[in-house]
Amino acid sequence: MAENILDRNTESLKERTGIWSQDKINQLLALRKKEEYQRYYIDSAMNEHTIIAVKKDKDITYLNSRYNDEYAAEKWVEGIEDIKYKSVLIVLGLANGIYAKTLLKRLGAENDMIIYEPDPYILLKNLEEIDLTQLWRDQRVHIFTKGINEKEFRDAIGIICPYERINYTQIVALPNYSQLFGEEIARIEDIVLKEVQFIEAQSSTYYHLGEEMNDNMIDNLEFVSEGTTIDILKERISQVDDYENIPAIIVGAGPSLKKNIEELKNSKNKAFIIATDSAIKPMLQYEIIPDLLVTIDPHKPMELFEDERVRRLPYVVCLQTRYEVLKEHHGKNIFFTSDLFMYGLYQKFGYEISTLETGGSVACNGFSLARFLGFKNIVLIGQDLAFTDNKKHIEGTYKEKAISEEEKNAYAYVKDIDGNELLTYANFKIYKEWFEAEIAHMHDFRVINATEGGACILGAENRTLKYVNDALCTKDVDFEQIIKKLPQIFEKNVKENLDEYIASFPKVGKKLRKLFREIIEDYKRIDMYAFRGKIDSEECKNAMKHIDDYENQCAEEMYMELVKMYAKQTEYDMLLDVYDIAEDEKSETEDIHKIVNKGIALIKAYIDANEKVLKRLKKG
Amino acid sequence: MKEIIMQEIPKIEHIADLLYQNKAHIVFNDLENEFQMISKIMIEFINRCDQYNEMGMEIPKEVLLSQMQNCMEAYKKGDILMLADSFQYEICQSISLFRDILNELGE
Repeated sequence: MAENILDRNTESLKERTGIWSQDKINQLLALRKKEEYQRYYIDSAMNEHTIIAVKKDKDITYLNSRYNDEYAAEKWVEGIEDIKYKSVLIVLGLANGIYAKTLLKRLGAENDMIIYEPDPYILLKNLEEIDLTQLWRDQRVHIFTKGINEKEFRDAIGIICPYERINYTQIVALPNYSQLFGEEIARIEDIVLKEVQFIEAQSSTYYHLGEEMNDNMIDNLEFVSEGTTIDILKERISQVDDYENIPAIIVGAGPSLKKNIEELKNSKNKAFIIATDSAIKPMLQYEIIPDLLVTIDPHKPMELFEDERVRRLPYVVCLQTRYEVLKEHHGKNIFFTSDLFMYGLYQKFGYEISTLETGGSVACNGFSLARFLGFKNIVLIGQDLAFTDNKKHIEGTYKEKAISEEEKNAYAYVKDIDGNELLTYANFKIYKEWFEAEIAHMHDFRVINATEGGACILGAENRTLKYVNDALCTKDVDFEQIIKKLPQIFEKNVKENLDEYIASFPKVGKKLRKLFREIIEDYKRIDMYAFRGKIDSEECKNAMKHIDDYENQCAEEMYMELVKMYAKQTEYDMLLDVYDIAEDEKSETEDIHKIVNKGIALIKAYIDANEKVLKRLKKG
Repeated sequence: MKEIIMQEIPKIEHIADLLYQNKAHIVFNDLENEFQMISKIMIEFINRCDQYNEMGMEIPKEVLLSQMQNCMEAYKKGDILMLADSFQYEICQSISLFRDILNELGE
């Protein structure tokens, strides 16, 4: 074993912060002591390259050609079709690294390669025996392996493959991997598919609710300087003795809530009770006051917030929460961020604000909140995620009809804990899978599904709420007082500066109005130069530089994030085929014309969006 | 025989390419037929080995036999790379040699 190769490999992997850390590398290196590792071999191919083999049962299977691994990799790369500008390749398998290295030669600077090695021992063998530092240091390459950084793999799909890149993302597996790791490959393909579905669902939500979300964002600016944050809440809760072991109960509004809502009374002051907004009405009917309520929906029905007791509760909210809900609210607003605007705003004034992962439903946010706050026992109730007795919600939440025959066709089926099929919304199925994926990556956490009905959430223990109360609710804690004492995030002088900054937005909007027009003129000039075959002329380069400068000026303004939010629908429509240019054709005149037209259309969308923001600000 | 070999060589190379490309599903249905053709050619070659060796050529009959065994073993195991290697570097080269001999002897 060549230690210096191992050192070089691990050092360069560590440079990829966010994906690899010393801790993760140590986890991987610990596998060296396992007997299992004896099944992995290196050998020399006829072309003298180091290649990798695995012994399974009595057979030894090579992961590379034993004659010429380079030729085999070239052929494999030749077989990959439709690599476009901005394509993302999810490569299942590393073998000895030659496939990835060969593929990189075909990729442009704008492409990304996500490698998932289904067997961590193979990655380990590579680290010990083959110098792959160049591969690890290439910013287009992102390497993950089973059991070490799967969570980061899922996150990376969301980050590297946003909605506009989904159509340009493909999964390719190395030869012999399906034969050796069939189940794992199928599992990973399933994870990728679900992530993609989730990205599409999110985009669809945005597409349909975007306008309402944006209106709320701007209207809610008046509350920003007076709230507190989940970060401060976390800090205060962490001062409670043994707080990790206190159960956090997330109350959903599924039909099964009626089965144990009475029992929930016994959890009060012994568990941290997080109510989702839809569950609050039945909870109040049973005189159960949660420790806080999570509400994020941009158009949640106001009927849920009519009771004065609800309006006095602390709310966990984001800027997209329905404005009227916050307007009528007399309690504390505890903010998290779900957008770059709020994050950037806090950063600008030197404050931290965290985000909460979401699976699409408010209960997912409640779950993420419990995790974020550090609770180690997370209990779900009223999380049917399916229709129980042909109903979507517990009685008393909404005036609701039973599911019609017509509706049934658009829905999906999931299994309950006994393996019986239950009808559900396609969305609910996505939420269920989100919980399952989160649970699969959680270590040192216990998730208990105490819904006592509905869909089976894989990875969660199925228990009754009575069990939770008897076994886990063992001490009294006054969370109400802790939350009451939460300070506002901004000190007086900062608050004044922040209010002043927000008040300056209309002025910024007028400045951007002018910049956008300048950008369009420059785009038109570029198109003209390209048409005349003068794409390399100084004048054309100047126009390109102007666009860069103007765009940088726009990007410096936090306000621009608001504009982008309003332009997102148009962005989605246009970006879907914006990368539909083959890597080797992207400098062709007609493609420049296409890009220019897209650029102009996008700036026009920003102009419209800017006017909407200005109008909304004026209204506010 | 020469004509059959001439037809088979590009076919075998094409199958090897597809296997290296991890597109075995495209060729698996044709493999059965292909094995029959390969066996026919290789057996013919092996049968003529003694005759060719008597003429001063040094053709290792046991290598040809082991190449056929490798090919069958790879197929049975579903080892895509072993099968591709076998086609590309063993079977193809052997039957190319057979073709050259046939050419040289004017058969």
